[in-house]
Amino acid sequence: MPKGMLGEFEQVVLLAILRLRGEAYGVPIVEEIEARTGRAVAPASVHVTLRRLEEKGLITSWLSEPVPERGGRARRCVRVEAEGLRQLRETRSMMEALWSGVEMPGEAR
Amino acid sequence: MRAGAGVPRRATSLLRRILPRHLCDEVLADLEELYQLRVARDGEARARRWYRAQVVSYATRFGADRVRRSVGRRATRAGREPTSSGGGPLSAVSWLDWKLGARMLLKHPGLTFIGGLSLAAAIAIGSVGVEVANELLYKRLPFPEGERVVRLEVQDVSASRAEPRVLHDYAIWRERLEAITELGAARLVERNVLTGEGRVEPLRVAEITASAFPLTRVPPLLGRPLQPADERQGAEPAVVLGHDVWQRQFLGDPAIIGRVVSVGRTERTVVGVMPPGFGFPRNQQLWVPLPERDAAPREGAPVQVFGRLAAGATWQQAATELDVVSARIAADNPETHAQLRTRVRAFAGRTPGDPLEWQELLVHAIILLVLGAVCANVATLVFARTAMRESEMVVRNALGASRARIITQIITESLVLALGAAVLGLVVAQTIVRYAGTRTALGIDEGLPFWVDLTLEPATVLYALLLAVTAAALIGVLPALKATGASVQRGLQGLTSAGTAMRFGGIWSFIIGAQVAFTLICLPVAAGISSEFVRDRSTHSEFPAERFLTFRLSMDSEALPGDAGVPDDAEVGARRARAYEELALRLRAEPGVTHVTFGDRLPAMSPELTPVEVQRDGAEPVRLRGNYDGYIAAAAVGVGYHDAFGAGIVAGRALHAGDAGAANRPVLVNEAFMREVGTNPVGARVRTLPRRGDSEPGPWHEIVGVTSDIGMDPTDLGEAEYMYRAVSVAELDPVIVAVRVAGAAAPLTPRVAALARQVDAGLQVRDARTLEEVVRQRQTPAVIGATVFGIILLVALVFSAAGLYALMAVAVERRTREIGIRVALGADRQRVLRTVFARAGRQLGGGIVAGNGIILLIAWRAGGGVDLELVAALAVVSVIMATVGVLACAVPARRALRVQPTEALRQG
Repeated sequence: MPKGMLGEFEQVVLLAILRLRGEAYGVPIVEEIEARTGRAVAPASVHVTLRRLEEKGLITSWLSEPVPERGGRARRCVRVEAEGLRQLRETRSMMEALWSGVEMPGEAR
Repeated sequence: MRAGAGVPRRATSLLRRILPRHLCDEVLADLEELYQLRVARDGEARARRWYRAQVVSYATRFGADRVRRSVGRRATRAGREPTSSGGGPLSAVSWLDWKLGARMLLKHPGLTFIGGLSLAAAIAIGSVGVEVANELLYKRLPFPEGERVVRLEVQDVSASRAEPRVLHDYAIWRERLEAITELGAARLVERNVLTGEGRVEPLRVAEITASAFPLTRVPPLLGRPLQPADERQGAEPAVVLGHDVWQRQFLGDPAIIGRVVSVGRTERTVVGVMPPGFGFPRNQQLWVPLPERDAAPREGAPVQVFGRLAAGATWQQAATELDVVSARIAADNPETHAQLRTRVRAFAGRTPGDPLEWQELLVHAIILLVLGAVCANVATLVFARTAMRESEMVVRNALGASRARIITQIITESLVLALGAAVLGLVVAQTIVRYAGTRTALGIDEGLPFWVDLTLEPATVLYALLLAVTAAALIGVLPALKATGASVQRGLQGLTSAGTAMRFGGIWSFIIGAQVAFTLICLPVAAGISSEFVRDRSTHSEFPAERFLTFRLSMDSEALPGDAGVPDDAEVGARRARAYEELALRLRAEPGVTHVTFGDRLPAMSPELTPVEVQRDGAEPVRLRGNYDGYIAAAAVGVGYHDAFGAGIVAGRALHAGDAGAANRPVLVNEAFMREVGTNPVGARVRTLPRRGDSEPGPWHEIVGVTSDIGMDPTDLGEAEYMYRAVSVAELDPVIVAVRVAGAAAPLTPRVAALARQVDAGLQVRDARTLEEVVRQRQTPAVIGATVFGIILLVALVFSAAGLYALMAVAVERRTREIGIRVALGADRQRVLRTVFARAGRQLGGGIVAGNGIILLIAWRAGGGVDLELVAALAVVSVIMATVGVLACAVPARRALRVQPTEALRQG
């Protein structure tokens, strides 16, 4: 994969965070991905990816206030940083450029 | 919601260990939230299954992430996980490996039982072998510098036998040898001793020079040892008692010193008591002065000569000096000493400088072979167990355990099993050594040497531990390497898919097939041994052996008052004959006694086997092929022998008193002999043929009668052919006496020794027991052999079944998803089963074919050929083996048939 280009699942997680518009933490991210893709997602994959994205500086996280519904435990919420947005745009541009002019068998132009 | 309500606790506990500490709470909270959502959507059962699956998911993904970081050498600082998550608590504490190993034993009782017992048996065999070798070859005398005590052996090279009449040489050696000092001589005899309670007991006595006591450096417990003054002509007869005799016969009398004891025909004064465990030179119980000190060359009493290497002298120096002195003696006495060779040997154990005998190496080779065979089979079971635990290995790897660490864990589990087996094996070995040693001692006239004890040596225990460690390595390494190889990487990628990536490769397949073949070969052999044993038992049970009392009779060779020196064999023989006649008279007067007879052996005792040829009417002699591997059984018997055992005369006449010593050397033969000859052999001649080392056939004997078969000596081909020659009591030493009683003979046993004492104080009675006990003792090796072989066969059967079971269990585990998919797609379950079990079938069939092939090859090479009986027997054992194999596959087959497609598909 070219340097700077996001991995597939990294893109998926970033997009899910963006779709959740600031209410993102592990549970809704998993739910969003499953709802949008129709595929079961291992929560572990999401958590590992979140950790990796934070190390790369593409997202930041913080602990929320303790939530009574979670037995008084906090949520680790995340948001996409500027660098994350930039890499998402760059990745989208690369993919669009690659897709441009590609005809899939059975598709009408 | 209470934190953790409803979620599987063990899975949560595992997750806490897997997750980085700073992420643990929040990740667990997310998981619980997701769990609640699934409970609402899919139900609690499915939610719990999903939750448990997350343990593996988190372990692999976080583990893979850790691997990725370490490979990429990414260093984080503030946000880095604590190293406790990298190393993992499970990899830190080695004692935990032992604990897990012990838990594995409980968790897999089948493997523990089969593998543990088999390893214990192999280690027991090895321990017994090494212990026997230690006792016989390496044990030294338990004296200070006992390894320097030597014995001097004289060999008549022309007659290929030892020459013990060396009193003449002994006197010269004492004068001239310098490298060997403190020389002494001893004659080992038995004497009847009148004990403090008035009982007569034959005890092992050493007529010994006083120098033997300082040689041993062992001081007496009470009193003093024999001294040179005790050896002088006219000195008061002295005796030194052994500790056991003092305790048993004289009840540990503290005033024993000075007491007069009757030893044989001589009243002797007790001058000392030796400490416990002392029995020099072999296992003597009393010590008296050696009466004869001088003799002409190669005359006089037979003695053994011993000494000690002088300070600073080497074995080589002693041997060289002895050669020089012996050569001088031979030069001075060419008529008597030209054929004699003298050498110095270690008194106990192997002589330093002797080359290793191939038998010693063979013992170790056999031990390792047995251990290797057992380990190969146990390794098969361990491999199957490891294959079922592949996901656990992957988790361990994800936790940061290196390959070496996982291998160590698996080998530690094997070591726990092997060490447990070693403990059991040592207990069994100790039992065997004690039992076999005791039985062996009963069978040896002189008993076991006093320096041989029946307790396992520390070296043997160490050897057993070494075997255990070797076994652990053998049974643990290969499965461990397999479990941590490329399959681990495949497991990382596809762990949530069902089944194990480990499979039984070529080596394991060969082991299982070889095990089946070995079992097949053992089956007919075991059947043969058992049938022979059953036949022997049924034969002996028809004979009234309980009505016969037997004992061994001998006469001591103590000089009588007025004798000129120690009596020779002829004088002792005459004395023995007179005493026997008087004893037989008194025995016949006892109530219930109907017959008294004698021979060199009785029915059911080991016969003398000899090749013979028969000549009739001047024709060419014909070699007779007897039932004992072509040999005839022979015995020397007295008058009335066959009458006592209920065997009548069917042709010719019985032996009578004048036959012993007659010119025509008359013999009787039995009916089995007559059947072998084919005609009435009375009037024919028979003689023994040369055996190993003999150059001439024996003298001709005239067959004067045929007796009916006594019915106590069956062979594979029927009753044994026997030849009985006439002999007198004077010619036999010892004399085996048989007393037939109208009722049970056992109550007569105590009377025999008392009657013998009344007849002659020098008459020694040993091994007084019923013929029934003789038969039982003779059958003991066969019982033990049949039992041991039966156990080997059972173990082989169990290993074959276990190997096939393990093979199929792993195959089913590995292909669960495939079975589920194929069934879901409409495949017939039976057909799916056939494809899954095809491999097991091939190995079972291959083993059966190989086993049959080996047996047929052996039969063909042995010259017996392949007959219908053999083919039928092979067919039967093949069916038995196939049945065992099918039964072994039954449980995995049932499991495979129960695989639900939906469950199989869900696994992933």
